[in-house]
Amino acid sequence: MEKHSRINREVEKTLSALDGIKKAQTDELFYERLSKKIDSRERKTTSFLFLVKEPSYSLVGFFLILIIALNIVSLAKYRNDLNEQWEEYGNQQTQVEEIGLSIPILYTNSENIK
Amino acid sequence: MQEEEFISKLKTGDRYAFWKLVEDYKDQVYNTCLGLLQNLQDAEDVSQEVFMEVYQSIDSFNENSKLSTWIYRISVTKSLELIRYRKRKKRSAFFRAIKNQDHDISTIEDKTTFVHPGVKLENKERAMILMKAIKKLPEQQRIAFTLHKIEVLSYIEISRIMEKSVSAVEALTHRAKQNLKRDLLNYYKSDFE
Repeated sequence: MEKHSRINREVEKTLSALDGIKKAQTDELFYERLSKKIDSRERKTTSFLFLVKEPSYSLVGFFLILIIALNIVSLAKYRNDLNEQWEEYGNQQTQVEEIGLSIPILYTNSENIK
Repeated sequence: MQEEEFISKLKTGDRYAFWKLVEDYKDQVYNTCLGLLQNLQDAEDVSQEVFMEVYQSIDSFNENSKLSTWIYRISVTKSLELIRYRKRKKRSAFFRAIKNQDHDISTIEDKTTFVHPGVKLENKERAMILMKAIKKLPEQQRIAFTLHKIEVLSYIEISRIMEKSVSAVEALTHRAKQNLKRDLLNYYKSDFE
């Protein structure tokens, strides 16, 4: 019984441990740190917007994208042509085999001669 | 200066008005974040994030609520974002530890003890135990209890911040106290044995 009431007292005391708590305060340099952060974020945004808005940079960007796009298209076309060539070569090979135009092997390797 | 006039100055990007706002609200924001996050560095970082958000989105402030309520709301939201992020990280670390049997799971447990700098010296030990118990409360109860006990806000102010009715906030605080009582009873029972 005594133990139980002691526990209850402890619980009540702990529950009121935050009574009369003082507010935590930031230090004096809080605004300066914040200001620096805001400025650096704004600089990043401004430099990005500058790239987008400035006509000469936009033009360079446009041509860069155009060159990359043209490269991709020509690479795709080249690969397509290469595939077609291989296909054609495959067809020719099949025709050669069907007609029997293959060259017979007239020699054997050295071990077999022995 | 009237609040409306002050807000319109903020909306024009007046840096002096923003400095004034930070000076007026920095401790309120920091104290709220500290109460919820229970970590000095996290509270500082999140407080800065709160003011950056205020600076960037002051245009969207519709003036239906008071400026202080709006700032409190951002502080709570930002703190909760970090708490949730930390919880997710802890959970994934726990599962990784289970997967790799060699890893010690006990290292993942939160062993940090936090003492709020505003607590009276004679209450430090008890406040530490209470803060640990507050950390275990469900999110909404934790917010209501922290704003009531640490930020010493009225139920009406809390209801505006949490966008709930006053009775709902009272119920949340009551349930929080009950849960804390249960948790502390278990703590002291094991301590006395």
